This record gives sequence, structure tokens and C-alpha cells, in this order.
Amino acid sequence: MEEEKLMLEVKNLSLSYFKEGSEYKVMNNVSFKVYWWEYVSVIGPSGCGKSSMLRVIIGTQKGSGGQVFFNGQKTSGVPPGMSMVFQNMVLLPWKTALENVELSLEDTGISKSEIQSRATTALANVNLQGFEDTYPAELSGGMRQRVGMARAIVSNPDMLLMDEPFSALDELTAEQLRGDVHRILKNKSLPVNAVLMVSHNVDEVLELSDRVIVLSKAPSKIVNTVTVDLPYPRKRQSKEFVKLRDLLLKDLYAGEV
Amino acid sequence: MLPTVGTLVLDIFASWARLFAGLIASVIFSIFVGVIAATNKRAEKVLLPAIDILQTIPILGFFPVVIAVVVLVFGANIVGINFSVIFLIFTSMAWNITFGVYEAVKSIPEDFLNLARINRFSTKRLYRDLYIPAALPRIAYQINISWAVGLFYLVTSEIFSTGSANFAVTYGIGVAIANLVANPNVLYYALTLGFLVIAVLLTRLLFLSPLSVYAERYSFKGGGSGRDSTVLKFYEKAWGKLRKLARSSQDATKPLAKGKPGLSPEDPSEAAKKPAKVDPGLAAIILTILVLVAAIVLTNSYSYLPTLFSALASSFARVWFMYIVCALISVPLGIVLAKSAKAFEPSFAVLQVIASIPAPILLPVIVALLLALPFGNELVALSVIFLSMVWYILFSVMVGIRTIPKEFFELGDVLRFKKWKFWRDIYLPAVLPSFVTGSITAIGGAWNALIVAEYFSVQTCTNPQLSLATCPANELTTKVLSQVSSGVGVLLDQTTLSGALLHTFLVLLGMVLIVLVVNKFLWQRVYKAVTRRYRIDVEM
Repeated sequence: MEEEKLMLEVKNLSLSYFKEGSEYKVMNNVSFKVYWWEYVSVIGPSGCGKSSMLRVIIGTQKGSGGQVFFNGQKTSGVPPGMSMVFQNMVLLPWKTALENVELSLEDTGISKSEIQSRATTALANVNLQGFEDTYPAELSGGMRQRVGMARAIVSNPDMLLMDEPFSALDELTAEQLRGDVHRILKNKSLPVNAVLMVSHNVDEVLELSDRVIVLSKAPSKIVNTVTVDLPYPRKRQSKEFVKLRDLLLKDLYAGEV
Repeated sequence: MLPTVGTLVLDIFASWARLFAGLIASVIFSIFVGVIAATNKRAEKVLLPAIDILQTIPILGFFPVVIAVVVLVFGANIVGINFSVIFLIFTSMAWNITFGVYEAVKSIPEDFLNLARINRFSTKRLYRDLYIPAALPRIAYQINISWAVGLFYLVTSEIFSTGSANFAVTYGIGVAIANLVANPNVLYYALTLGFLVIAVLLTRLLFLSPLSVYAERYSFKGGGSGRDSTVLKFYEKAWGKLRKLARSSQDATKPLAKGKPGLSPEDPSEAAKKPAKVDPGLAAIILTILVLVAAIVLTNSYSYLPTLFSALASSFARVWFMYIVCALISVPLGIVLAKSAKAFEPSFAVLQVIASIPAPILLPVIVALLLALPFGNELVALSVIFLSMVWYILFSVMVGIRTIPKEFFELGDVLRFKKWKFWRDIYLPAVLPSFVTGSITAIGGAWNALIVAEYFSVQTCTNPQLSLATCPANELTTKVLSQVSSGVGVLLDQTTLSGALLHTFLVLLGMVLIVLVVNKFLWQRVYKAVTRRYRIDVEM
């Protein structure tokens, strides 16, 4: 079955930081796998190293131990086929929406016109047609995060990492954007074949994920892995949803002590 | 007469006493004027543009006039000359501290003001418990900047003052430097530089850095940066002991002062009023032109105009040529030094110490190395201009790079940017706003430096056995060491030394006019355009 094709494997990942010569362990031997077409979320208290973990996986930061395998290859540096959406969008204010998306494709040997048409399509895929020449300052928070999303998917990545992508947005905008992310992942003709998201919001994680990994406080380890087998669209008031929420909250509390 | 260790100590002591006097005056002025500008809407409308313009005018150019007027009024005595120097230092430090106080008080969270209203704070308590504590972090930060600028003004004005027997201060680091240009001596120069560097480092260690750490506690963000200072701890311990001693000797408990409430509730109709549509920059330009034209017409000084214009044009060319040179060097260098956090900290600390050595201190070296070369006078002038500009640009670029949120660098990594793409798409555009701010200050610094860059004379004693302080007046001679053919600095120095105050006045007005016009029609526009597009919002 296609679901069992492995995309990402994180083996014994450890993180620590150094202050005044002594080492502080943040994350201790965390291992998990993400399969094709899966939406996996990592949830945990602040300071548990979940955001840093994403950066180790995509190779912009080094961990203190462990390995990352992506599509069967041990990674070193930023692997092709992996992309990331930032919590704070990180759009260059001096470039238009379209130019910000095009950043992902420049220097890859693709022709200028091809870059432009792909970037335009990516913006359309996140419902931003007509805003190509708008600067980030003139866009709303939700629109900016859509540009960030378009920039991440325009290079046709297999895997999308998301670092608290909805936390800087108001609830209504976040809700719409969650719908978009779900649609992009489940639509097999669109790029992105797996998502790994970091969040501290239990509801948002339950609404989107196939699997939720719960981390304890630092030095963090995996407390529990919860499979969410609910049909879409998920209703937050439904009995099953509430039950899973209670379970996740219980795990989070357990990890705090 | 060469300086000795003894006179050097006196020199440093005299200079530092002037600096602290100027600093204390600046801080007191800043607190009152800054708070008034921030809390009174009518005062704000007048004070803010005034401070803004004063900040951009090369006030050091006024030193010749100030000192000439003071000597005219008070006679050439120690008090008058020192008053002029301290006043100059004050004008170099006060504006940016005032601005800092204004901004800090302006940004006190509304609820703190409400708290003060509810508790009916008296004016005294408002200052003591709200305005001054709220402004402390900015005051400390601005003092760091003001200190370096003040040192530059101090040395420059001291060196300038030695150009005439009438104005000369007796002791000061600038006096030592001026003597060393006249009588080059490597050993004593090294000694002077060494003393200066030690004084600069000690000031940083014992005053500036404990002050910053102390002030950080008053940040509304709370907690400060967690930095610590052993020196500060020592001060606090000593202070605690002193207070204990004082308390045991006098045991008076004062009754709580009951003042009138000093903070009236905010009037929304007042706040909603739109500011008057008078452009202060334009008003200042028109006023300067009017005064300049009136002065020329009334005194019939048309014959002076060619000299004046050629001087303004030459100085303008020198300043802008060196500005371009500085920018071409500082921008890439600043980016390289600041783009990695590891390289930033040590290089910034070292550069800060080097930069706090004011450019005129290097005059003995510059004169010795360059004066004999073809166009030596020109090279001396350009070097001093360069040194008085380069730091502003370098530091603003470095700080600019460090304020880019680290996610932007991550983005470049995630998107696998090539090196040149980092430069073109992230580094260069992101430093533009701080580069522009640095450029404005740098060019202001360059105009300020002209009075020692373009013309440089010292007093020497015909009897080499005697120091300037002990030399009888009839044995003093003025020796011009370096002088460019035409320039604002030359005119300012010569007209002051010869007592042609009217001409000094015309030159100053011309220089101020150039600076105002460039600020209004170039920098204001560039700044607006650049901050509109190139500023990264902090909250982003």
C-alpha cells in the first residue's frame, strides 16, 4: 500500500545548547517516521525544542546527536524536495508577492518565463491570483502566510515542514488557511506529499493531523503518539474530537511533570 | 615643548572633566525638554522640529563664533574658554539624548499613565517614578553614542583653540595633540595615544557599561537582557554601605509629600487635532536664505561672495567624494563582519574602541605621513574627513545586519541561496534603512570635522624649553601646518583668527544652508522611500 512508503525517518535526535560553558539538554533521543501522504504534527510545551527540531531536519541547524533520513538518504545540509513555512512568514519586504515566490526557483536552471508562470500558478493555488504585484506590507497577515505557503510549494517539494504556521494569524484566517493546507496535501496532483507540523495548539493539530506526536518538557522525549482517525471536515464539537482532545491534554500535562 | 607624563595626566583629566560637565548638562536638559516635548502637544510641535534641525547642523562650525563671542564678552580667561568648550560638547550630546527621552516617554504604555492618574501623582513623582525610569534605558543608550561624538567635539575644539593665543585652553588631550603635530615625537605620541585609549577603556568599563546594564532593568519589556556587570555590583554594594552610614547618622523620616496631581486626563479632542502644515525643514531653509541675503546686502559684502562660493563648493566636493569612498568600503566590510553572529561581537567591541579615538587625534600621524606627498594638504583634509565619517557608516551597517530577524538567514538557507543571492536579495536591501541613517550622521560629522581637516594651525613657543602654558605672550607664534587652497574650514579658521566675524558668520550660514537643503531635498526623500519598502517590521 502507498501509505507505507517511508518519507522521513528521524533517528535518536538530540538537541542541546551551551551557556557559560555548560551543556543544557533540550531534546533527548527522539525517533519517529513520516510516511507518504501523511500529516504528522509534533506538539509540546514551549522550550521543548520542537521548532529547533524542524531546523535540524531541514538542515539549517545542527543537532547534538542522531540522524535524519529523507527519501531513503541520510541528509546533510538542506535536502532537495523539502521545504518550510515559517511562523513569521519571512517575506522580503522589498519584493512583491510574486518575486517572493520566485525566490524559490531562481538559480535552479529554470528559464525566467517558466519561473514566472510557476510562481503565478503557486499563488493561484493558495487563492492569491491578482495579488502578484502587491508588496507584503500591503497584504493582510493571512495573505502573507499564503505567499509563504506558495513560496514553499512552488519548488514541488515532497515534504513540507511547518513551524507554527497559524499562530500569528487570527482564528478565522487560520481556519481558512488550515483548509488550504489540507486541500493541498490531499490533492495528489498538487505538490507536497507529506507534512510535518510543529504546534502548541491542540485543536489545530487534531483538525489536520493523521498522527500527533506529544513531547514532554525539556529535556524532551516522546510521551505518546496518537493516531487521529476522524473523517474530514472534522468537527471540534464531535464526541470523538473531544475525547482525543482530552487525551492529548492529559499527555501534555503528563509531560509537564 | 613636549608633553610629559605629568602634563598628560592633567590633559586627560581636564578633557574628561569638560566631557562630564557637558554630559551632565545634556542629561538634565534632555530630561526636562524631552518630557515636556512628549507630554505637551503644543511644545511638541515646536521642540521636535527644532531638535531635529539642530541635530543635523554642523554645530562644531559654530565653535569659532562661540569662542570669539565669549572672548569678546568675558575676555580671554580660563572660565570663558572652558565655558565655550563645554557648551560645544553640550550641543553635540544634548539633541540625541533629548530625542531618546522624548521617544521613551512617548511610548510609555497607556496603562502606566492611567495608573499615575488614578494615584494622583504629583509632578515630582511623575518625574521620579515614571518619566525618568522609563527614559533611563534610552538615556543610557544615547549616552553611549553621545560620548563618542562628544569626545570628537572636545578634541576638535581643543585643537582648534590652540590655534590662537587668545583662545587656547591650557590643558587638554587636544592641546597635547596639537603640540605633537608641531613637534613630532613618536614616543610621546605613543604615550598620548596610550593614555587616551586607557581613559576610553576605563570610561567604558567603569561608567558606560555598568550604566547600560543598570538601565536595562527599567525596560518595559522586563528583565533586561540578563547581562551582568561586576562593576555595577561593586557600585551597588558601596552605595548600600554609604546609605547605611548616612541613615545611622541622621534618622529623620520625612512626611509623605502631598502634591497636586501633575498628570491631567488626556483630552481626546486635543489629540485628534491635526498638526499644523508648516514644513520645519523648508522654514529653516527660507529663514537661512533670508538671513544670508540680508547679511550680504546690509554689509555690502558682495566682494566676498566668490571666495565664499568656491569654499562651499570645494568642501562640498570633499565631503561627498569621501562619503562615496567610505560607503564603498564600509558597506561590504560591515556586512562581512556582522553577518555571522560569532564575528560580530568581538569585531564590534574592538571597532568601538578604535572608533572612540576621535579622528583629529590621528592628525600627528596623518600630517607626518601625508603632508610631504604631492597634494599633501588635500590628502590630510581628506583623511580626517574619511576618519570622521567611516565609523558611522560601518556601525550602522553592522547594527542593521544584526537587526535582521534570524529567520531571514534561515530562509536563505532553506531556499539554498547562493552567496551572491544572499547579498543581492537579503543583505544589501536589508541594510539600506540603517545605511541611510548612518549616512546622514556621517555627512554631518564630516562637515563638523572641516575646521580641523582643512586648516590646522598651532601655537608654538619660540623658546623650545618652555611649554605653552609658561611661554610669555611675546614669544608665542602661530604656525600653520596644513591648509587646503579653498574650503569652509579654511575660511572659518582664518576669519576667526583674524577677527573677521562677519565673514565667519556668512560662511556658517552658507554651510548650514547646504546641509539643510541636502537634508530636505535628498535625505528626507531617500529616507522615506527606503523605510517604506526596505524596513523589516520587528513584529513581522
